[in-house]
Amino acid sequence: MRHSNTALKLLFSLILSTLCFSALATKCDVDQDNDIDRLDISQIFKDRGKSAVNIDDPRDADSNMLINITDGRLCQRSCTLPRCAEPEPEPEISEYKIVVAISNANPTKLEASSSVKLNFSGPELVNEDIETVNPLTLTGPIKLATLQLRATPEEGQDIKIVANADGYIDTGASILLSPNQQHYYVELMLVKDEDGEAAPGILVTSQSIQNNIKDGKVVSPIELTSEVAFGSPAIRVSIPAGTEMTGSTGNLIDATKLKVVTYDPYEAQALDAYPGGLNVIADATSFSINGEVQDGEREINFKSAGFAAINIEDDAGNKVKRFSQDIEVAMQVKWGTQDAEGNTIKVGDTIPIWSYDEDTGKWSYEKEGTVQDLYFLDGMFDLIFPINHLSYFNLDWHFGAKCPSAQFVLSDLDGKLLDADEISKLSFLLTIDSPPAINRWFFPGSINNNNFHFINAPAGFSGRLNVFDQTRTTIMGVAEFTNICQTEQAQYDINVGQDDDLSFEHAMELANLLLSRPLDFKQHGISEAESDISTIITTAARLLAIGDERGQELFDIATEIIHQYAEAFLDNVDPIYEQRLLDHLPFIDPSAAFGGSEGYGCIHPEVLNLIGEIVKNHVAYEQFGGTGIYSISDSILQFLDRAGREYLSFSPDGLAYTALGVSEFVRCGFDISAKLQFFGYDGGTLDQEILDHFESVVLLNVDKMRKDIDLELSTNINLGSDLFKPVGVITYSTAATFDFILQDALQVATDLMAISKFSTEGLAEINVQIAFLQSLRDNGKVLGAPAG
Amino acid sequence: MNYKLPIKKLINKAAGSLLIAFLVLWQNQASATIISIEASTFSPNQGDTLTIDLWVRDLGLDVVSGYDVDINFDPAILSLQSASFGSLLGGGIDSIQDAVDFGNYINFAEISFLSEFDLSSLQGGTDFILGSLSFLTEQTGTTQISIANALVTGADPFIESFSGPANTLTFDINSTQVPEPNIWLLMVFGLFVVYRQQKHSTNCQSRFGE
Repeated sequence: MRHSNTALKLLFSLILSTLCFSALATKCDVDQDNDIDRLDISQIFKDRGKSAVNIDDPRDADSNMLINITDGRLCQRSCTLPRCAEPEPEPEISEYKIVVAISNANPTKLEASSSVKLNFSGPELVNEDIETVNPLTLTGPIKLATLQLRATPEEGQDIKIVANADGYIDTGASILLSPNQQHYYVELMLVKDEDGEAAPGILVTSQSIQNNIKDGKVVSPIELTSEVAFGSPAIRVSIPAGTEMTGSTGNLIDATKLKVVTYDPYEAQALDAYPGGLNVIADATSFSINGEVQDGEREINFKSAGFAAINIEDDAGNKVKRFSQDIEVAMQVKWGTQDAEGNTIKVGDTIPIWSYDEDTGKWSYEKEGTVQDLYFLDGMFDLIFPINHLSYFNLDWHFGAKCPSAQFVLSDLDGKLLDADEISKLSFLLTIDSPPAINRWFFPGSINNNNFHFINAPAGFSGRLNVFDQTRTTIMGVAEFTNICQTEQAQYDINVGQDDDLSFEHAMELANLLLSRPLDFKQHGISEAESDISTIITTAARLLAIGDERGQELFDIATEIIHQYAEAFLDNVDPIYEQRLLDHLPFIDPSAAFGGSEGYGCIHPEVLNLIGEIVKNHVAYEQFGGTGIYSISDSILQFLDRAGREYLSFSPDGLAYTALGVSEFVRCGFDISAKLQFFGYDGGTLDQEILDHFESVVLLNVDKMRKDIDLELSTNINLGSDLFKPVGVITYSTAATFDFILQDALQVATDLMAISKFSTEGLAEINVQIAFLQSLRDNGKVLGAPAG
Repeated sequence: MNYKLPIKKLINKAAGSLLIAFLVLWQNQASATIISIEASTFSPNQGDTLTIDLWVRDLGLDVVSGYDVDINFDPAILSLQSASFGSLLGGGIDSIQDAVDFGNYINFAEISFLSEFDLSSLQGGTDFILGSLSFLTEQTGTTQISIANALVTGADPFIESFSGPANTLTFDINSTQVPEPNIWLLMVFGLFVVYRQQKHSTNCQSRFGE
């Protein structure tokens, strides 16, 4: 009986407890820490006998206005944890969020399979599970991470991020933290580690240096000049013999590959790939700002005149960090480049040089470089400076302060606020008017419904924020400001939509800007203004299509711009480019020029680029009504004539050992000859002389290879590892090389005979050598030939 | 100290037959458990230590989850030396304990952090000592120690707050005396003295009578 009573009692107590639980839960949390634990019970116990302050006194669980142990036990039933244990304090997580996005400098996304490893230094970052993340590996097609700072940052603290991905060039960024700014966004753009144009304005050039290095020491001088498009800055790296290359731990590295990446600061995507962005934390020790020599790290807004990355590594990917002696780097800056104060630079000016350590993500001031105007490439100023370590090198002025966060509220033309998804489909172009002039696309930090924040915008300058559609061709809205950071919580309202008036104004603005450019800028030709001209013409066409006469006005201005730029360029070709090129540039492969024995004799890429540029300006000029005061042929034929004559004096005999052989040499000659004919060459027989030059070089290479065979047959050669090739035989690889040049020569001879540019005697000579090689094989004179 | 049973609270929080049923159950249960103070000696001498224990008896299937008891004493005769607590409410680890001397009464209290199920397994229905108070007997005379106010909570504080009888213990504190030998020792000693005196007298007579 007693037992059943107890069971019923427990049942009732459970019912009552349930009825009262919610009230108790709010009552008993005496210390208001969102849990009920022994601290709360202890406080009730300590205050037993006291009267409750009011009916809601959390100590008075039964609301009888008296605090006693009954209240304590009532609250015990509501304890958060068994035995009223104190919950483990939740790790302190700040509300400060950092979004890190990884993208390819090339508009296409990173391959889904590639992973990106991020290393952080600075305050601790945690993921959504409040776990420390360092390093963090991002995989999958969308590489985006939202992290939180464990603790509230102190003013001036910074986080440095270094990103590594297989097949991409290391990069990084730094974020300056402030307790007044809770959201940060950083986008790291990775540059594909392959020769060629990785993205507009970013070019990768590499060179094998395996034969130049022995035991970590340069045994023969190394020189690499980046191959860039006409009008883009190049870089040249020269490493003298005797230089020792060491890695991060001071170990000698048998480097095999030298690579340079050039970034054109006039290209938006190149600027976007700038490690750390243009607002960085840099070690400015010894750097002078306003006459005061700096010491230690500080925030720097870079105004870049040009930057490049130099990388030397071995086959295992071990990177060279330092050199035992200075090596020489020559970087270029475009004519017409303006410094931070808006002055066009000239010979004798100085530009600060900064280096970037991709392992620490930090920029450091190096020295000042003096502007020169050298001959070795065209249209550029040059800065030559010695270095003893490898890095990104950056020619940069600095300026101004940053605006921690400026808010832009977006609505459509009917006043409806845009949501976050709609905002994310827009593009944003920041334009700063007065020096230093900036015109940059950027990615907004912290997109929300109705608004986004632009974080770390350069403060203190007038300008405007232009909103474009996703294709960045149609302007959708604009906000003007005299200082983007007029107040700490600056806010701007923008109405977004396709607006013909706004488009016209934007096109007119672009047009006026292009027309106001100095002559030395226009002398680069219409390529410099191509995208803006395209926008103006597109706008003009749209307005004309709807019968808006302002379209014709824009079209006329676009015509004027094209004329001005084309004329400046074409005028410039004669007095400057032409003479500069004729005086100094090789017109065929640099290694083949001036009596060199390597290369195939193709037209020098710079000359080809210049030819292309001349054609582009000519065509645009004439299509937009330019009268024929310029002769496209006269300019170009001079270059082709020079290239052709260099080709005739070029007779390489080692083509058997090249990848493409004599057929490439012949192709290069055909190209020069064809171009001569295309541009109306009628000043002689150069085009035919080039064709006649083929047979002699083809047979020269066959003969040279035969001589090498004879030499090998008569020589005892140490093949290494105590293995000797005896007299009277050749190695399998030598036979393969001989076979390659013979088959290549046979094919070329056959093709040239069709146009009567190869003799039957020459063909017979090739066949003699083919038979000779076969006899060697038949008689077992080829060592190590694979069975069968 | 609230000495009333929390009937009003219960009325406010329950209703109808549910209330009636639990009141019956509570009455049955409350009448069973006894809270009392007990002592092993009642006539201590002056200067001795007098210890009283606070007992819970006849707990049955219920538990004690907390108590708050005032124990009166005469500070002219007794002074508190120490207080100690039992272990069956959590032993100070899973409970909070307190003993405060207010001059003429001791507030003696403990509340457990354990659930009724944990307490049930700890206490198991046995009689046990909630705690003990030790007094120094300062003066002679008759004095009392009593429970003045008591609030004891059971498994469910709403329906099982119960109190024990306000029992009173009476002590006679004796004065400190020189210890007296037992009567038979005195008699033996007296007989021995008489015997020696008689023997001494006989020996003298024979020696001088010769």
